[in-house]
Amino acid sequence: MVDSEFPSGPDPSSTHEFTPQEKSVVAGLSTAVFIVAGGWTVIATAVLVTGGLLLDTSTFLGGAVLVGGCLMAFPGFFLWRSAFSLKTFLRPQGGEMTHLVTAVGQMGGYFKAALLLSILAVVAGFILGIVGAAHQG
Amino acid sequence: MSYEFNREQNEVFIKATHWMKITGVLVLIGCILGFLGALISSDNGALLTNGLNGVVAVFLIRASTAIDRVVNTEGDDMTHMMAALRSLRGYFFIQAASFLYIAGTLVYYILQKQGIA
Repeated sequence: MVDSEFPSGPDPSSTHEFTPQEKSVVAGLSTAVFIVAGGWTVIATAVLVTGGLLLDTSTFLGGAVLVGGCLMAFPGFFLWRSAFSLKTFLRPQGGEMTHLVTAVGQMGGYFKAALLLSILAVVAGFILGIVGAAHQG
Repeated sequence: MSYEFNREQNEVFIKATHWMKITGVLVLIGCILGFLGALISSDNGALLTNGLNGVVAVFLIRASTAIDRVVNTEGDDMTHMMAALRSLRGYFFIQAASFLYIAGTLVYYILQKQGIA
C-alpha cells in the first residue's frame, strides 16, 4: 500500500519492541561506523600534519593541504555523531526511535560530505593538473 | 499494529536516502568503467578493487531503496528499516575492513623500514 501523503497526525503505533536479532544488526552497524569514523579522523589528522609540515616549504601548498585536511574532518564528524546515536540506541533507556532516526540522518550528512569532498578533489586535481602543465609548458 | 514513522522522521530519511542514492549510483558507474578498463589491461588488482566497489555500490543502492520504501509505503516500516540497516552494515563493514587493511599495510611498511618486521 502506497502513502498518498506522508503519514501525519497521531501514529498508528508509536512504539516498537526491538528483537535481539534487530539489536545485533544495529550493534554490528555501530561497530563498523565507529571504525570508519576513526579511519576518517586518522586520515584528516595525517593530512593536517602534512599541511603543517609543508608550510615551511610552500605557504600556498601547505595552506591548500591544511584546508583539505579541515574539509576531510567533516565526513568523520558526521560518522562519529551517527555512531554515538547508534550506541545510545543500544542502551536500554528509551527513545530508541529518536536515536535511530538521528543516526540515519547523520549518515545522510556523511554521504553528502564525502560526495562533495570527492567532487572537490576531482576539480582541484583537474585545476592543479592544468596549472602544472602550464608551468612545464 | 506495526510501527509507522511520522512525517518529521520521514523527512530526515528523504534527505539521507537522496545522498545515499547519488553516491551509490556514482560508485556503480565508476566501478563499471574501472572494471572495463581493468579487463582490457588484464589488471587483477584493479579487477578486485572494482569488484569490491561494485558490492559497496549495491549495498548503498539497496539501503536507499529500502529507506525509500519506509517513506513511501505503510504497514511494514520496520521490516524495510531493518533491511536498510543490514545493507548499511554491509557497506560500512567493507569500508571498515578497507581502512583496517590500509592501516595494517602502513604499519607493516613502517616496521619493515625500521628493520623490526
